Amino acid sequence: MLALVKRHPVLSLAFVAALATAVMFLVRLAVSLWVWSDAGHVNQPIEAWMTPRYVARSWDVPPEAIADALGLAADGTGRRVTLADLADSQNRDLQALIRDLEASIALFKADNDD
Amino acid sequence: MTELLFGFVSSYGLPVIAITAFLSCLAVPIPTFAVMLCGGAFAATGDLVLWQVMLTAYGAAVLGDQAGFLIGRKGGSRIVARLARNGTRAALIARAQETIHSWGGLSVFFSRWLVSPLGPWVNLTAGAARLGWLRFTLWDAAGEAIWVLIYVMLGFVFAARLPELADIVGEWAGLISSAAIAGVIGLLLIRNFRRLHIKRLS
Repeated sequence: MLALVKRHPVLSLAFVAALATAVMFLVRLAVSLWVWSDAGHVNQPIEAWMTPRYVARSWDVPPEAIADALGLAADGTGRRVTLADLADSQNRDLQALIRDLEASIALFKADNDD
Repeated sequence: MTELLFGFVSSYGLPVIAITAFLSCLAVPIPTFAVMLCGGAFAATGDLVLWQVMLTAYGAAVLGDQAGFLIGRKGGSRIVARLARNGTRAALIARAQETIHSWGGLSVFFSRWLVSPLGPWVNLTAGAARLGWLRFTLWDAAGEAIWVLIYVMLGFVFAARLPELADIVGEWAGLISSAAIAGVIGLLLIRNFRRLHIKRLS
Protein backbone atom coordinates (compact mmCIF):
# COMPACT_ATOMS: atom_id res chain seq x y z
CA MET A 1 0.00 0.00 0.00
CA LEU A 2 2.80 2.39 0.98
CA ALA A 3 4.68 1.37 -2.15
CA LEU A 4 1.65 2.40 -4.19
CA VAL A 5 1.47 5.80 -2.49
CA LYS A 6 5.20 6.31 -3.13
CA ARG A 7 4.81 5.30 -6.75
CA HIS A 8 1.76 7.45 -7.43
CA PRO A 9 1.90 10.37 -4.97
CA VAL A 10 -0.22 12.72 -7.10
CA LEU A 11 -2.89 10.14 -7.86
CA SER A 12 -3.04 9.06 -4.20
CA LEU A 13 -3.37 12.65 -3.06
CA ALA A 14 -6.11 13.29 -5.62
CA PHE A 15 -7.95 10.20 -4.38
CA VAL A 16 -7.82 11.35 -0.75
CA ALA A 17 -8.90 14.87 -1.76
CA ALA A 18 -11.87 13.58 -3.78
CA LEU A 19 -12.89 11.28 -0.96
CA ALA A 20 -12.64 14.08 1.62
CA THR A 21 -14.75 16.33 -0.63
CA ALA A 22 -17.36 13.60 -0.94
CA VAL A 23 -17.51 13.19 2.85
CA MET A 24 -17.88 16.95 3.29
CA PHE A 25 -20.80 17.04 0.84
CA LEU A 26 -22.35 14.02 2.54
CA VAL A 27 -22.32 15.79 5.91
CA ARG A 28 -23.73 19.00 4.42
CA LEU A 29 -26.41 17.06 2.60
CA ALA A 30 -27.38 15.25 5.81
CA VAL A 31 -27.66 18.57 7.67
CA SER A 32 -29.77 20.13 4.89
CA LEU A 33 -32.09 17.13 4.79
CA TRP A 34 -32.46 17.25 8.56
CA VAL A 35 -33.31 20.96 8.42
CA TRP A 36 -35.78 20.24 5.60
CA SER A 37 -37.66 17.55 7.50
CA ASP A 38 -37.45 19.38 10.82
CA ALA A 39 -38.76 22.71 9.58
CA GLY A 40 -42.09 21.18 8.53
CA HIS A 41 -44.06 23.90 6.83
CA VAL A 42 -42.59 26.94 8.46
CA ASN A 43 -43.19 29.99 6.32
CA GLN A 44 -40.13 31.37 4.61
CA PRO A 45 -38.95 34.88 5.38
CA ILE A 46 -39.99 37.15 2.52
CA GLU A 47 -36.99 38.07 0.36
CA ALA A 48 -36.19 40.61 -2.33
CA TRP A 49 -36.02 38.03 -5.16
CA MET A 50 -39.52 36.65 -4.54
CA THR A 51 -42.43 37.53 -6.79
CA PRO A 52 -45.85 38.38 -5.33
CA ARG A 53 -47.16 35.01 -6.52
CA TYR A 54 -44.18 33.23 -4.97
CA VAL A 55 -45.00 34.83 -1.60
CA ALA A 56 -48.61 33.73 -2.04
CA ARG A 57 -47.45 30.17 -2.68
CA SER A 58 -44.96 29.90 0.14
CA TRP A 59 -47.29 31.54 2.71
CA ASP A 60 -50.31 29.62 1.45
CA VAL A 61 -52.38 32.73 0.78
CA PRO A 62 -54.43 33.36 -2.41
CA PRO A 63 -52.41 35.42 -4.95
CA GLU A 64 -55.27 37.95 -5.05
CA ALA A 65 -54.77 38.76 -1.38
CA ILE A 66 -51.08 39.45 -1.96
CA ALA A 67 -51.83 41.53 -5.07
CA ASP A 68 -54.34 43.55 -3.02
CA ALA A 69 -51.84 44.13 -0.25
CA LEU A 70 -49.22 45.34 -2.75
CA GLY A 71 -51.69 47.57 -4.59
CA LEU A 72 -51.47 45.57 -7.82
CA ALA A 73 -54.31 45.44 -10.34
CA ALA A 74 -55.75 41.98 -11.00
CA ASP A 75 -54.76 42.18 -14.69
CA GLY A 76 -51.65 40.06 -14.59
CA THR A 77 -49.24 42.84 -13.64
CA GLY A 78 -47.17 41.55 -10.78
CA ARG A 79 -46.21 38.41 -12.64
CA ARG A 80 -42.47 38.01 -13.18
CA VAL A 81 -41.72 41.02 -11.00
CA THR A 82 -39.55 40.70 -7.91
CA LEU A 83 -40.47 42.53 -4.72
CA ALA A 84 -37.25 44.54 -5.18
CA ASP A 85 -38.40 45.73 -8.64
CA LEU A 86 -41.84 46.45 -7.25
CA ALA A 87 -40.47 48.58 -4.41
CA ASP A 88 -38.38 50.47 -6.99
CA SER A 89 -41.31 51.18 -9.26
CA GLN A 90 -43.48 52.31 -6.34
CA ASN A 91 -40.64 54.44 -4.93
CA ARG A 92 -40.80 52.59 -1.64
CA ASP A 93 -38.23 51.14 0.68
CA LEU A 94 -37.98 47.38 0.16
CA GLN A 95 -37.83 46.56 3.87
CA ALA A 96 -40.90 48.68 4.52
CA LEU A 97 -42.74 46.93 1.69
CA ILE A 98 -41.84 43.53 3.13
CA ARG A 99 -42.92 44.56 6.64
CA ASP A 100 -46.26 45.83 5.34
CA LEU A 101 -46.74 42.68 3.32
CA GLU A 102 -46.08 40.50 6.37
CA ALA A 103 -48.61 42.52 8.34
CA SER A 104 -51.21 42.14 5.56
CA ILE A 105 -50.63 38.39 5.44
CA ALA A 106 -51.00 38.09 9.21
CA LEU A 107 -54.24 40.11 9.01
CA PHE A 108 -55.56 37.95 6.17
CA LYS A 109 -54.76 34.74 8.07
CA ALA A 110 -56.39 36.06 11.25
CA ASP A 111 -59.54 36.99 9.31
CA ASN A 112 -59.75 33.62 7.65
CA ASP A 113 -59.14 31.55 10.75
CA ASP A 114 -62.42 32.60 12.33
CA MET B 1 -25.31 33.99 -5.42
CA THR B 2 -28.28 31.67 -5.89
CA GLU B 3 -30.71 34.35 -4.67
CA LEU B 4 -29.29 36.74 -7.25
CA LEU B 5 -30.02 34.08 -9.90
CA PHE B 6 -33.56 33.61 -8.56
CA GLY B 7 -34.05 37.35 -8.96
CA PHE B 8 -32.77 37.23 -12.57
CA VAL B 9 -35.13 34.37 -13.40
CA SER B 10 -38.16 36.15 -11.97
CA SER B 11 -37.30 39.47 -13.65
CA TYR B 12 -36.17 38.24 -17.08
CA GLY B 13 -37.64 34.73 -17.29
CA LEU B 14 -36.91 32.41 -20.19
CA PRO B 15 -33.81 34.17 -21.67
CA VAL B 16 -32.01 33.71 -18.34
CA ILE B 17 -32.90 30.02 -18.37
CA ALA B 18 -31.68 29.65 -21.96
CA ILE B 19 -28.38 31.48 -21.39
CA THR B 20 -27.45 29.60 -18.20
CA ALA B 21 -28.39 26.20 -19.65
CA PHE B 22 -26.26 26.92 -22.74
CA LEU B 23 -23.23 28.28 -20.86
CA SER B 24 -23.20 25.48 -18.28
CA CYS B 25 -22.54 23.02 -21.12
CA LEU B 26 -19.37 24.97 -21.86
CA ALA B 27 -17.98 24.73 -18.31
CA VAL B 28 -18.95 28.28 -17.31
CA PRO B 29 -19.36 27.92 -13.55
CA ILE B 30 -22.99 28.92 -12.98
CA PRO B 31 -25.19 26.86 -10.63
CA THR B 32 -27.54 25.96 -13.46
CA PHE B 33 -29.40 23.42 -11.36
CA ALA B 34 -30.59 26.33 -9.17
CA VAL B 35 -31.87 28.14 -12.27
CA MET B 36 -33.75 25.00 -13.40
CA LEU B 37 -35.31 24.50 -9.96
CA CYS B 38 -36.23 28.18 -9.97
CA GLY B 39 -37.82 27.92 -13.42
CA GLY B 40 -39.95 25.03 -12.15
CA ALA B 41 -40.89 26.94 -8.99
CA PHE B 42 -41.95 30.06 -10.90
CA ALA B 43 -43.96 27.86 -13.25
CA ALA B 44 -45.79 26.52 -10.19
CA THR B 45 -46.56 30.02 -8.94
CA GLY B 46 -47.84 31.12 -12.34
CA ASP B 47 -45.02 33.55 -13.09
CA LEU B 48 -43.73 31.34 -15.91
CA VAL B 49 -45.30 28.57 -18.02
CA LEU B 50 -44.12 25.01 -17.36
CA TRP B 51 -43.79 23.72 -20.93
CA GLN B 52 -41.99 26.88 -22.03
CA VAL B 53 -39.49 26.52 -19.18
CA MET B 54 -38.84 22.87 -20.10
CA LEU B 55 -38.56 23.45 -23.84
CA THR B 56 -36.24 26.45 -23.41
CA ALA B 57 -33.95 24.63 -20.98
CA TYR B 58 -33.88 21.51 -23.14
CA GLY B 59 -33.16 23.30 -26.41
CA ALA B 60 -30.44 25.47 -24.90
CA ALA B 61 -28.75 22.54 -23.15
CA VAL B 62 -28.68 20.38 -26.30
CA LEU B 63 -27.29 23.32 -28.32
CA GLY B 64 -24.66 24.00 -25.65
CA ASP B 65 -23.55 20.37 -25.70
CA GLN B 66 -23.23 20.50 -29.48
CA ALA B 67 -21.02 23.58 -29.15
CA GLY B 68 -18.81 21.85 -26.57
CA PHE B 69 -18.55 18.74 -28.74
CA LEU B 70 -17.56 20.82 -31.79
CA ILE B 71 -14.92 22.74 -29.83
CA GLY B 72 -13.48 19.41 -28.65
CA ARG B 73 -13.49 18.01 -32.17
CA LYS B 74 -11.96 21.10 -33.82
CA GLY B 75 -9.40 22.03 -31.17
CA GLY B 76 -8.91 18.82 -29.27
CA SER B 77 -8.22 16.40 -32.09
CA ARG B 78 -5.37 18.59 -33.36
CA ILE B 79 -3.71 18.44 -29.95
CA VAL B 80 -4.29 14.69 -29.75
CA ALA B 81 -2.76 14.20 -33.23
CA ARG B 82 0.36 16.13 -32.20
CA LEU B 83 0.74 14.11 -29.00
CA ALA B 84 0.30 10.84 -30.92
CA ARG B 85 3.55 11.42 -32.90
CA ASN B 86 5.45 9.82 -30.04
CA GLY B 87 5.28 6.00 -30.29
CA THR B 88 4.44 4.89 -26.72
CA ARG B 89 2.17 7.87 -26.28
CA ALA B 90 0.34 6.93 -29.46
CA ALA B 91 -0.39 3.51 -27.96
CA LEU B 92 -1.73 5.08 -24.78
CA ILE B 93 -3.89 7.53 -26.72
CA ALA B 94 -5.23 4.72 -28.88
CA ARG B 95 -6.21 2.86 -25.74
CA ALA B 96 -7.86 5.93 -24.20
CA GLN B 97 -9.83 6.45 -27.39
CA GLU B 98 -10.86 2.82 -27.39
CA THR B 99 -12.22 3.26 -23.87
CA ILE B 100 -14.15 6.36 -24.88
CA HIS B 101 -15.57 4.57 -27.90
CA SER B 102 -16.79 1.59 -25.86
CA TRP B 103 -18.04 3.65 -22.87
CA GLY B 104 -18.61 6.99 -24.57
CA GLY B 105 -22.37 6.71 -25.04
CA LEU B 106 -23.04 5.81 -21.42
CA SER B 107 -20.66 8.44 -20.04
CA VAL B 108 -22.39 11.07 -22.18
CA PHE B 109 -25.79 9.86 -20.91
CA PHE B 110 -24.96 9.83 -17.20
CA SER B 111 -22.95 13.05 -17.25
CA ARG B 112 -26.08 14.86 -18.45
CA TRP B 113 -28.10 14.32 -15.31
CA LEU B 114 -26.52 12.05 -12.68
CA VAL B 115 -23.03 13.59 -12.56
CA SER B 116 -23.89 16.76 -14.45
CA PRO B 117 -20.93 18.87 -13.20
CA LEU B 118 -18.73 16.58 -15.32
CA GLY B 119 -20.88 17.18 -18.42
CA PRO B 120 -18.86 19.95 -20.12
CA TRP B 121 -15.63 17.96 -19.80
CA VAL B 122 -17.25 14.90 -21.30
CA ASN B 123 -18.45 17.08 -24.22
CA LEU B 124 -14.90 18.25 -24.96
CA THR B 125 -13.37 14.80 -24.53
CA ALA B 126 -16.01 13.11 -26.68
CA GLY B 127 -15.35 15.65 -29.44
CA ALA B 128 -11.58 15.34 -29.20
CA ALA B 129 -11.73 11.51 -29.16
CA ARG B 130 -13.93 11.59 -32.28
CA LEU B 131 -16.91 9.86 -30.78
CA GLY B 132 -19.49 9.60 -33.56
CA TRP B 133 -21.67 12.71 -33.82
CA LEU B 134 -24.95 10.83 -34.09
CA ARG B 135 -24.07 8.60 -31.16
CA PHE B 136 -23.12 11.62 -29.06
CA THR B 137 -26.26 13.51 -30.03
CA LEU B 138 -28.69 10.65 -29.33
CA TRP B 139 -27.26 9.85 -25.87
CA ASP B 140 -27.06 13.58 -25.16
CA ALA B 141 -30.67 14.22 -26.17
CA ALA B 142 -31.88 11.36 -23.95
CA GLY B 143 -29.75 12.44 -20.98
CA GLU B 144 -30.69 16.12 -21.18
CA ALA B 145 -34.39 15.20 -21.29
CA ILE B 146 -34.00 13.42 -17.94
CA TRP B 147 -31.99 16.33 -16.54
CA VAL B 148 -34.62 18.91 -17.50
CA LEU B 149 -37.50 16.74 -16.28
CA ILE B 150 -35.93 15.99 -12.88
CA TYR B 151 -34.75 19.49 -12.04
CA VAL B 152 -37.69 21.50 -13.36
CA MET B 153 -40.23 19.11 -11.81
CA LEU B 154 -38.45 19.17 -8.43
CA GLY B 155 -38.72 22.96 -8.50
CA PHE B 156 -42.35 22.75 -9.60
CA VAL B 157 -43.37 20.32 -6.85
CA PHE B 158 -41.44 21.92 -3.99
CA ALA B 159 -41.87 25.51 -5.19
CA ALA B 160 -42.75 26.90 -1.77
CA ARG B 161 -39.35 25.94 -0.34
CA LEU B 162 -37.06 26.88 -3.23
CA PRO B 163 -33.95 28.12 -1.31
CA GLU B 164 -33.77 25.04 0.91
CA LEU B 165 -34.37 22.80 -2.10
CA ALA B 166 -31.52 24.47 -4.01
CA ASP B 167 -29.18 23.83 -1.05
CA ILE B 168 -30.08 20.15 -0.94
CA VAL B 169 -29.77 19.61 -4.70
CA GLY B 170 -26.45 21.48 -4.79
CA GLU B 171 -24.99 19.31 -2.06
CA TRP B 172 -26.30 16.17 -3.72
CA ALA B 173 -24.65 17.18 -7.02
CA GLY B 174 -21.38 17.83 -5.20
CA LEU B 175 -21.54 14.51 -3.41
CA ILE B 176 -22.26 12.42 -6.48
CA SER B 177 -19.59 14.18 -8.58
CA SER B 178 -16.80 13.94 -6.00
CA ALA B 179 -17.74 10.32 -5.29
CA ALA B 180 -17.57 9.56 -9.04
CA ILE B 181 -14.14 11.19 -9.32
CA ALA B 182 -12.89 9.30 -6.23
CA GLY B 183 -14.25 6.09 -7.77
CA VAL B 184 -12.41 6.57 -11.07
CA ILE B 185 -9.11 7.46 -9.34
CA GLY B 186 -9.60 4.51 -6.96
CA LEU B 187 -10.01 2.13 -9.90
CA LEU B 188 -6.81 3.46 -11.49
CA LEU B 189 -4.93 2.97 -8.21
CA ILE B 190 -6.25 -0.58 -7.76
CA ARG B 191 -5.19 -1.45 -11.28
CA ASN B 192 -1.68 -0.09 -10.64
CA PHE B 193 -1.57 -1.87 -7.27
CA ARG B 194 -2.26 -5.22 -8.94
CA ARG B 195 0.38 -4.59 -11.56
CA LEU B 196 2.90 -3.70 -8.87
CA HIS B 197 1.98 -6.81 -6.92
CA ILE B 198 2.35 -9.11 -9.93
CA LYS B 199 5.73 -7.58 -10.75
CA ARG B 200 6.96 -8.27 -7.21
CA LEU B 201 5.75 -11.87 -7.22
CA SER B 202 7.46 -12.72 -10.49
